[in-house]
Amino acid sequence: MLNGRTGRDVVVTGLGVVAPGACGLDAFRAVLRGGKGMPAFDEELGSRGFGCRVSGRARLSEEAMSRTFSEVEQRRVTSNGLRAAVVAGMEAFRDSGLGTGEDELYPNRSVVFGVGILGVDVLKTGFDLIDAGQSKRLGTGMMEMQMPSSAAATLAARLGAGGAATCVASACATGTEAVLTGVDRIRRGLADVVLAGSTEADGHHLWGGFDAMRVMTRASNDAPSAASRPLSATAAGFVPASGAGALLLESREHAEQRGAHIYCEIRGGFVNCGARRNGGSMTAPNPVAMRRCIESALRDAGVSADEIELVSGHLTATAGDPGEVAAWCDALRRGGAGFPRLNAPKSIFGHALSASGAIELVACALELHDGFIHPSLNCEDLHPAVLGHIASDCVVRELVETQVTTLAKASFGFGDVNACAILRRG
Amino acid sequence: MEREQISKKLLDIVAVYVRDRARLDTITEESTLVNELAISSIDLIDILLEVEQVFDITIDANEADSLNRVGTALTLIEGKLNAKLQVEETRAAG
Repeated sequence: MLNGRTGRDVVVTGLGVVAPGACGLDAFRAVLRGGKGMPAFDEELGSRGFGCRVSGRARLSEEAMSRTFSEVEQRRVTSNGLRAAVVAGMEAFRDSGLGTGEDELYPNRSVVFGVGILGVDVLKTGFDLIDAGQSKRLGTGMMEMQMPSSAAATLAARLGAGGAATCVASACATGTEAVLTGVDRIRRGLADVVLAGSTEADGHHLWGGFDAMRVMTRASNDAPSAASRPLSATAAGFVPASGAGALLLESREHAEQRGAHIYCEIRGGFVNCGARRNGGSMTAPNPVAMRRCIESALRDAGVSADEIELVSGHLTATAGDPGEVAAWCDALRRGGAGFPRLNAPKSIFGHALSASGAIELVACALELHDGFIHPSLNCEDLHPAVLGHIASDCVVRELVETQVTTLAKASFGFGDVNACAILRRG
Repeated sequence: MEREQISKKLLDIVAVYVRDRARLDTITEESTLVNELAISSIDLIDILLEVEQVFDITIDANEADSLNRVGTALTLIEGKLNAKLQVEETRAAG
């Protein structure tokens, strides 16, 4: 666990992403800049009587599939969760410029790849066969798609990674926690290179539980691209989404020695729990713990609150948004017009659950590297409770071309689990 | 179905699993999938399922080992297809 500004500097030298409306980095950049929400009407949810009938399903392009998988692998691995993980992970690896000797094992490479429910989109097919006494027909891919650890193990094999291949699962905090776990591993000298990220499949079997809890929006089935409304007075719940994000983390020394291209530095971060105290619950974070997570992340990064120029919020468009803004204000000791700029990536993509932290960290890395801040969509009507804490102008509602040096990214997950990362340019 | 036809269909199924395509040029009935074609044991399981599907036959667990050698695989499939044909002819005659 991260507990102080110690150890080696960790930089990002590769990025990979599969997100709603964007398979691959170039498409992702365009969507971040494009100012349009990616959710669409979802026939499947509609036909099954869901209250929420919009979603942001990430689609894998044919080109990405054939570049990443052989024909046999495509037949064996049919879950979008595992497919997206490997596509995004391999994009990040290729992007980093690192190579692999076919039979070589690299003890200094490690993988940390998180997930919510791997294979959820294909589990029923398998269960039905087993229940019908036809388990023989499962084929050899079903077990691989059921194991949450498969994403990490598969990517480790592709990278020749001889360090640990770890799966992390902390609901919506998964991706951010996976990256911070990777940072910790490099700082402690257990690896020079860590492929870190997370993935989540799509589908009614995964989203049914959330629909039953009434935490997904039912108010925008006729206006899908405006459905994901973080910070808005008319926010009515989150829009479910899917995909995967991957960051190739490296010690700065290792990266500079091989002349790697560096996107940004992960200065530090923190992971904690609210233990459902102080008003925290399964679905709502403990505000004291949120504040402590952000403060501890700053301390770990050796960064002062005043240096934060941009906050990339967790902000899901649920009743938790104003409370999150309040926690940021408390932790940064900044409010009103003095609050940093704020944006909500879920306004563009929806909430990709366990993949969200990783996808959104890829967005943060691109913002720092390319010199822009993506807009926060669908909040022309800011919630009065949000405006009680920060000035309207803090919320970035149009694309801004500007060079940010230091930003904070947080993810607050079901179960009252929190993760916050501090990123710096270069 | 003639043995040669069975052979062609079987090799179409197997070829997808062969990473080094040059190995396909030297296949004989003595070739083993695991050794000469360097197919993994996990791939053999998927090949069995596909053979069952393509030829519409059932291969029991104790017969599965026959699939590893091309010659014994062909003999197994040929036998099952002939047995199926006999059952169909008997049914038609009755």
